[in-house]
Amino acid sequence: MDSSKRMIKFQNQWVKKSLTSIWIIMITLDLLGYAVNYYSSKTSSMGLVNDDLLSVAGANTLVIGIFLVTYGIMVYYENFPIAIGFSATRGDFCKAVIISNIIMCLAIAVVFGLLMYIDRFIVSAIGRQPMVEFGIFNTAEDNILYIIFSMFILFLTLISLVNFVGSLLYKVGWIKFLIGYLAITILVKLYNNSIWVNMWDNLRKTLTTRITPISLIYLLITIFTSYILGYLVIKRTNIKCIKN
Amino acid sequence: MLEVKNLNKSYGKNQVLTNVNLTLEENKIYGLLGRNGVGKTTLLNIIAGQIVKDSGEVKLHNQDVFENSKAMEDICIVEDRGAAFGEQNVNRLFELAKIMYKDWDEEYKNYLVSQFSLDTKKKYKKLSRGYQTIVGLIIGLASRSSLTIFDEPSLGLDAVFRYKFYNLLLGDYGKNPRTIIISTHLIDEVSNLFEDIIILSQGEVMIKGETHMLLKKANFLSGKEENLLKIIDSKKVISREEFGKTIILGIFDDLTQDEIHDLKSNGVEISQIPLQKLFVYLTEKDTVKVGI
Repeated sequence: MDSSKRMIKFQNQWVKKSLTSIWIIMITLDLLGYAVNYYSSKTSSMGLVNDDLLSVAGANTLVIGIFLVTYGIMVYYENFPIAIGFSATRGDFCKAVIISNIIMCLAIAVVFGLLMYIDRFIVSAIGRQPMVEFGIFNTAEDNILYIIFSMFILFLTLISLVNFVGSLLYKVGWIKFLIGYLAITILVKLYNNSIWVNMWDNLRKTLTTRITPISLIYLLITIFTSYILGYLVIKRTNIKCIKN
Repeated sequence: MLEVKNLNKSYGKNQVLTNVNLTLEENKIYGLLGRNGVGKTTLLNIIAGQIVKDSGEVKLHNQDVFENSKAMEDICIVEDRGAAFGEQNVNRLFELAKIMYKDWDEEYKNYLVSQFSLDTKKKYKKLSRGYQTIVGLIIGLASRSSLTIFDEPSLGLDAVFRYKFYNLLLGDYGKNPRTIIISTHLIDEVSNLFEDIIILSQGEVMIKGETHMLLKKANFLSGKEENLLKIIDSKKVISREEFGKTIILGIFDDLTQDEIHDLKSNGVEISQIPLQKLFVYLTEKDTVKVGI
């Protein structure tokens, strides 16, 4: 086995462990949510609520979001120093992270898609009105493969951005990162506030509307660019907790 | 096997390594010695691709080491991992090491675990300082990497475990020769392990040579001053102590058979300087001045 394959195997060890945790959390929260909604009154619901409409599985997006952000950052604080300490190259590490991110996002999207797909039936069965329209997809009208694909692309976009942030955080530390972030924010706002507003508006639209061919290209470019930037940051980064 | 050319590294304004040049041969045990802060760990970490050099070359089997998978798969560095290993349990660390090192010897790892009575179910951070070091030593030995680097391998180890490690290392080296670099401050304990010695001083290679050749040049001469005057003028004196009319000179220079004969016939006693003392004399600024 060559070193790239060994690095991928190394990284996938972490994915297995992380996926097991997130699946257990998602399924447990959903079961708990259905039980709570079944036994409680309609005024106190657990899940995504819009007027009388309810989706328990929809609330998983929050859990998945937190998980992907934490995982994307922890990769640099846990896996990176161990991998480089065990003689991996930074290039092999980045390749392995990309592959493991794809596997992880796909695996989460599949389970999330299935949970979303059956959500409306369970919500109906417990006597509530199911929410089926989520902006990005409609669980009553869309094919399950479309739902899985949409979520896969969005999860991958999120983790690729977090990967870039994680590499920067590891390289410069929290304080310098926050100072840099604030400085850029203030400069952009002072120079042209509309750039800032448009950027967040586009991001909000992308995350809440159906994926079109154009937005797919935009998301793929974002994913690609984020990983390239992440590699450029980490390429010349020393591993920490080393004595001088 | 390993070639380091004009290597430079600084942290901010602090120049740690200055034009370091080194060539290491295959299947030898090297001792890397130097006082605190001279750049030993930095040098070893650059060789192992852990930190990035400013300029210069590090080549293993004629291939640049940095970001080169082919070269890196032959290198294993063992050093204080601290926080990076902290949350992992020992078994998991061994599993990860097994994936990463192509020549990993699982059977030998199990043997070492039993030799050191290591509890592999514990989290790394829950282990004592000594056992944390042992985890690294086991990874280094079982990796069977053709270049294995031990940076301070005796950190936190008691004397029993230290000697166990030295014996295991020598035993394994006999059966599976490889190039080993050991950086340590417990010099006398490991001096019989070293085939070659590299001494770093102020970020530069001060001395590199075969251990027995260096020790052959390092002698204490004890006798009356008038019988040592010729030596003081012609040889490199690295230490001088006086006890009444008797002086003890430490010299680091070749002595011819005639010189030895003359000295002995004048009642001068000649004895070898132990490696640790030689290191102290050579690297202690004021003492070096005596020799110049």
